[in-house]
Amino acid sequence: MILYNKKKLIIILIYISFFIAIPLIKNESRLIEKKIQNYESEIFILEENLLEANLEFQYLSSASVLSNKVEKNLDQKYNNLDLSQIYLNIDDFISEQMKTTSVLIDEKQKK
Amino acid sequence: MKNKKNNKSFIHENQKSFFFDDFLDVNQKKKKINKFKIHEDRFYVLFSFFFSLILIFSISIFSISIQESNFEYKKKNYSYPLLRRDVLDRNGELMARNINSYHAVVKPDLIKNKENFILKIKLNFPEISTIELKKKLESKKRFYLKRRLTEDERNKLWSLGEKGIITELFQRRVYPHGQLYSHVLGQIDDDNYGISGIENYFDRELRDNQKIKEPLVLTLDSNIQFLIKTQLKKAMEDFQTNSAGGLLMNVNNGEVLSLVSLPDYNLNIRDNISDIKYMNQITKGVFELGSVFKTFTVALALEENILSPDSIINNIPDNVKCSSHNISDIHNFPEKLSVEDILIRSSNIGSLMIARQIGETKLKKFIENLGLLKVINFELEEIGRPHNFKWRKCKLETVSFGHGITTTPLQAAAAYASMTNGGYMIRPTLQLGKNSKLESRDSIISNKTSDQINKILRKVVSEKKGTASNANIFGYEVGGKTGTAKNYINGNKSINTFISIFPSSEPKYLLLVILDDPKGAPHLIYNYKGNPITNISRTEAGWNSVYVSGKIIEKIGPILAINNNEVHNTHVVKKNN
Repeated sequence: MILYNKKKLIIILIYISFFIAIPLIKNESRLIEKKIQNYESEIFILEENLLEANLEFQYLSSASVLSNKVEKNLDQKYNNLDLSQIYLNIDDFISEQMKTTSVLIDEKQKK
Repeated sequence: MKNKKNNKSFIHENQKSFFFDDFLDVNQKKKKINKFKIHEDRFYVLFSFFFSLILIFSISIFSISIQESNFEYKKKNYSYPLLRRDVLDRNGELMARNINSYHAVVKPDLIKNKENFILKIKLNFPEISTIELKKKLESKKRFYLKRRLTEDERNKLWSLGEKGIITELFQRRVYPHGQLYSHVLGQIDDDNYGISGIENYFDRELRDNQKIKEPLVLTLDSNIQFLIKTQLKKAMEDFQTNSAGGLLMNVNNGEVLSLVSLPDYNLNIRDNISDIKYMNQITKGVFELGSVFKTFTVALALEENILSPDSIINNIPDNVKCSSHNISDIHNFPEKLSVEDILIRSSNIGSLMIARQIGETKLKKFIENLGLLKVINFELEEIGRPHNFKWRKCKLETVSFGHGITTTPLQAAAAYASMTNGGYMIRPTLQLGKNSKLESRDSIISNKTSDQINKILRKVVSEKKGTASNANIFGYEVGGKTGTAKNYINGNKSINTFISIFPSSEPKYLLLVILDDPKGAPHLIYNYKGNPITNISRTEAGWNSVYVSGKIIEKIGPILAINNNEVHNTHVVKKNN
């Protein structure tokens, strides 16, 4: 009598399908978690490397280390720029260059 | 017969035997129902059996599905277990960071051949005492073979292949700049607690788990700090000083860009330092700063409208007898000097006469309001306390030119910043952005007085009669005041200070340089009032602290990118014409 009850049959079918689906999903999620774990371990290693590289960079690029390297490896000392060579804005620089160019052109034409 | 017939009629015509069967319809139905009832019972038994089986399975599946993932445990192992936050400078350069490091621990029970073990250790780590190692091995207790292993040492221990050696993980603090910030950053102990400097002051904040990935950003600038330190180190050699200090501060918000105190020490190496010269000269050192106090005297006279910069002080004597003191000037000055001339030439007696016009009560209150006599609130534990004194006879006179009164260079710098930034009180800070939150600012002097002081300070540097012409670096409109004072512990030694502001037309930065007992430097070539001179053995601040300040401003000026009128008027306008 129960077997012929449609509603109950549907419920049982749904139940069985869930019953099968749960372990499948669980297994799949376990595999995904494994992948996540692998990625996390990779990220951790990369982060560690980045931190170490960053620390090394900070040390190697610190002013004292750089100045020591310059002293050891460079024969020439840095020269200060004359203040007349420093321009406070691009317009000043362009107008100065234009003047110089026009003077040079005039000199060439004279020759 | 009839009865017989009737009897025979009970036998069914199809019946072939005498087996009696119930062929009644009602009975037949009943029979069928009974048979079915037996089937139904069986079905229920089977159903309940399978149902309970399914129920058990489903409960177990449900319990498995609601369980926490086992991977959580592993995840925790992958997170970087920081115990202290990073410290960065204002440009984002790393100043301090925690890294994983190792101690070497020995478990004597796990070592089979102890003699061989001692031999191996002796070969690889000759600094470890064999006798002590033998004793420790015999005691059979777990002990530290070597703390704070380097990567090479750790690899050496691995290569020994001894089961009894275990590497114990711990966190250590690394300072990539080594000695550069030794007096500012301070150090931590083995348990990751700050014991000095910033590490101690911000200890709780630096260990805050919720902010562990956010760095603590300071106002300091590593490049400027390095340049100032380099120049001060050179100055220590040139002038053979015991110690030196430098401070660069933004006068408008009190942010400290550089704080150098020499001699210094490497933060990455644990050392027991007890020599007093290793103290923080800028914050902990309490000095009589001398003539730099004359600026306060003049500023108060201008603020109170007692005098103006052009007011003439007549009949200035060569010396003044005050109580048991005989006060005089280093050089002979004219009898008549204007107020600004008194500051430009740094006349002790001129300042004394101005102070007498102001009066003790006002000067005392002004000095107190400037915060020169109390302990300053600053983000370091190493803060000096100015010496207490009573305003007795002659105190007004000596305080007017900075004698008989002590303070820390940091407090003097803060007072100068307040007087040159338009008259607003500022509090020096090492925490970036802290002072930008201040809504209201207290005023110590008016904007007008501040402008007048800035102009006079500029003349101290730019005019021929000024005491600080060695710091007249073109392009930066440097202004400032020198101070040459006797060391109050050892009267034969001097403390030379120069507090400069630049650009003086609209001050942005304040630089303080202090040298402890500088000697003459005849080998140096000074650019004195436009002419190169050498073989100078003078020891006043104008020939050492001022000279060093000039060199520092020359180096750090381009980094600070000061866009001022001096350069624009002389070069840019000229070029355009």
